[in-house]
Amino acid sequence: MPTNKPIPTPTTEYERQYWQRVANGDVCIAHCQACDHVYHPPRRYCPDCYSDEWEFKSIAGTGTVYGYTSIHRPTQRFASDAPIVSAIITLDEGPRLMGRVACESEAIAAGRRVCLDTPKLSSDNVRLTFKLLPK
Amino acid sequence: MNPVLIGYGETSVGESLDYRYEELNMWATQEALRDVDLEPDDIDGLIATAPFRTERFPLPRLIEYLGIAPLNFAELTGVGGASHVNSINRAANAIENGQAETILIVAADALHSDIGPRTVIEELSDSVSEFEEPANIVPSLYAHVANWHLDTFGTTRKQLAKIAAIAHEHASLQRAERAHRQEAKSADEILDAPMVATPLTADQCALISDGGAAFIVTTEENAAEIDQVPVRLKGFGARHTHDHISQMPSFEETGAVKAGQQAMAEAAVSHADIDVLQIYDCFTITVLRILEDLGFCERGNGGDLVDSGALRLTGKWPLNTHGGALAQAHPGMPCGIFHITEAIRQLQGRAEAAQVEDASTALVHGNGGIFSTQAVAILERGERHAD
Ligand SMILES: [Zn+2]
Repeated sequence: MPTNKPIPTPTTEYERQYWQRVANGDVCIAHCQACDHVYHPPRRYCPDCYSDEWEFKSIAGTGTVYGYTSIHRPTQRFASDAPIVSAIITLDEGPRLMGRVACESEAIAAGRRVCLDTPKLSSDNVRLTFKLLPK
Repeated sequence: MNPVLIGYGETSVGESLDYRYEELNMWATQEALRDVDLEPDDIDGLIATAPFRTERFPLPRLIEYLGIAPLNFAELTGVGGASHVNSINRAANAIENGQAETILIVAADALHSDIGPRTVIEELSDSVSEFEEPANIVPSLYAHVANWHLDTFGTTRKQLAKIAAIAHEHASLQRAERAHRQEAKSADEILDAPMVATPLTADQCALISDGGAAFIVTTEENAAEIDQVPVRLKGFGARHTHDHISQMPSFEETGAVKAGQQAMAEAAVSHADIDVLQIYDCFTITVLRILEDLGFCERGNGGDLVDSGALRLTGKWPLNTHGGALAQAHPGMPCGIFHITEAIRQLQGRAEAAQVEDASTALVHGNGGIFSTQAVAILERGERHAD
């Protein structure tokens, strides 16, 4: 589905690679080769050991809802998406990240299990999108 | 040496004041100087706050505009709503080190009339990283923690709304020019306001206002010449932890736990000693999280503390007796300075209809970013010297 929603604007090569992977349904976290730390968001230097020797590592795509909200008044360029369910998800790999959850506002709760909505990533918009797993 | 806080001044607050950044700063400064009968030449140090749209060199511009040059000490604050509580400590240290004797702390901005509410919301959201979902606005970032608290501890939406009701009640006691909102509102009315990001309705989010305030920190010797009650800094603590809300170490607590313990230990006070509680209140959830972090109740019991009535003017720990960011004024970065000027006003016994009887010890808290940076100061009423 074509979209006129703004896409991310990477300013470095690794950011460009990151969003390209997301668009292909392959969401990654950074994996430091020097100290084994995994982290998000990706950045040039590992926050633990300052090494720039890191690689993208694909995630399983499953995790648990930590915080969440239904945004009724988003920024103007996303107004047509409202309400947007946004969640902070603890990935099974450990790091936390923020993404959208394709569900009704009332359906989400802390502790709910989610998984990546991979078809949505490639079709709708290159934003991280998850769906609720059955209770 | 023993630096003390002595005079304070505030501009009117509200919408469309038609004053620019430097004019509001001058207005607040003039009121503070007048309060203690000092002249601009008596000031030899400055801590100021940059305007919302940061110029390249706001500090020299302000120094020249205020006519207080030359100065021995000048710096800009930069930790959002925690800036001004931090500044009390910075000023006290500079005075103890002999860098300056009389420091002006001032913060004011024309957030409503110069920038405009919608633009402020849009531009602040630009600081949300693309990796963190760019549809977010600042209220929705705090809302993640609010829903976590509701789901984890069974806190209710109404308990959150009551925090805003207390703010509106206290703002309604202020003189008209002192509070952006003047009407008391019930928790139900606050819940009925338009939803911004669940569970936070518009009335649970900070206002966007014009205005500002200033206060003066000087030596005890200088203060002895001034016909005003000096206020002592008895303890201070700060913690800085994260930027992205998704990278906050835990929603269980903020840096205010350690900052508060440090400040209260240094001041040698217990919770029972606190007469006035000035907690940074950009959103209702901010207050709930921080009350627990500072130990005014057990973790998870913030809702019960709100229900108990302890935070109302007649309660054990009157909260934000000026009305706070939720009802008194929120001119952006300068917001936290009003929590301090209100504490000074309470400790000097000048709070009129909102006066807490025999207020001698106040806890003042500042929060910047998205629970990112926390500062806590314990202030105590001193003895008036001059006749
Ligand atoms: Zn590393």
